[in-house]
Amino acid sequence: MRSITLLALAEGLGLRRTRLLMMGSVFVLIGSYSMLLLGASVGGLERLLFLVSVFLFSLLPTLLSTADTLSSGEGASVLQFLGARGRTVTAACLSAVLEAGLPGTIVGVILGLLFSNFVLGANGDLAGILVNLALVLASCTAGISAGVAVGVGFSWKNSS
Amino acid sequence: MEELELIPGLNRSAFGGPTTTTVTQLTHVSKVFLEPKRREVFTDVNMRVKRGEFVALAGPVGSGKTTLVNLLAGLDRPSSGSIQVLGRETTRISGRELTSLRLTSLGLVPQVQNLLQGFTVSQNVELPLFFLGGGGRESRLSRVQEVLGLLGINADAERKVADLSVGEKQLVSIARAMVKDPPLLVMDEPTESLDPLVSELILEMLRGDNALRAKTLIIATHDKRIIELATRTVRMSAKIQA
Repeated sequence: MRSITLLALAEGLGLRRTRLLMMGSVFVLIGSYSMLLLGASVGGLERLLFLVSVFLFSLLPTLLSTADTLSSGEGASVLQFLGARGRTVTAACLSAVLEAGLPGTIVGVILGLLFSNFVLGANGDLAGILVNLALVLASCTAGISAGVAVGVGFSWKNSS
Repeated sequence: MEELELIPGLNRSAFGGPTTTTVTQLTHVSKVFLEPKRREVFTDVNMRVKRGEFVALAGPVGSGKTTLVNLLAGLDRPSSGSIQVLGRETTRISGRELTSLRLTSLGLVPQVQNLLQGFTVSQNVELPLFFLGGGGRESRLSRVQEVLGLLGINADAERKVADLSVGEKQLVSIARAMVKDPPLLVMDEPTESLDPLVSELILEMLRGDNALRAKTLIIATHDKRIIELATRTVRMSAKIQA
């Protein structure tokens, strides 16, 4: 018999493959443009502002997609009826969105590096690229996590 | 009344469950719906159900049976009065505490089955155990298999709920309520969409649980067989309102 996992629970709530694929593709764009722009930015403040915008660009689509899925589907009300805790649902959604979002970001980052090297002809040093990579992944992960937490919170409160 | 200890977990025996003898008590409970227009469902309801009782809630359509079930299950709040379930004053506790009480101690079979259509039968039945936590995947699945076997739907374990008939869905809903072995089972018309033979099987099982394991049952019903089996029948009357 198939057992329940956090990913299966997220699917039951409406976060299905097509929706996650769409979210993943958004993160390809975020990843590639952030690597391009982060590589071109010079000052500390410029980099900080840029990372804040990566965080926000990760947060908003995640928040909207999670809140919309949970509010429009039957899942949230069924799980509340059964006595599910909000944090279990958050964990389920987070695992599904991270599974789609992070590979998307990584693909985007690789594309961004390829573009900057071969199309724009930039030759950054490896250490600088790795730092940028870490910063982009951290900002995206933080944005995704915050988006899911706020999205689940909104829809969970509304359906109780 | 003695202090109640709620212990989340599996295979809780009704004998080792709540130490109180009163499982639920309604005191001066009234319910008024304000939308779409003001409707008084019932006023000043007083009811006490002791551990091991099998109570049938009978009455015509519109008498408030489902509303009462929803109040008992903490899915709705009364307009006035107090409701105690397993020693907790459900009208005063927070939504989170109410959710926790429902998860650990109450099995509910609602009129609308509330199943996840994309999940299989076994996954739907496993959900309450998954939320309870504790016990591994294997013990959860073995308990699910046991309950599905009791209800005779083992063969449907891997079928998607969306593909089932209304009667089969009702059995899944009953299995889901029973899987965590709660001390209190509240059901709303559980036999309505079942064929007579299956109904007999379910009723026999519920009666056995009630008689041998002192499980408390509160069932809203029109079914005469349930009313005959119950140790007590609470009759509700419809209010005619202009």
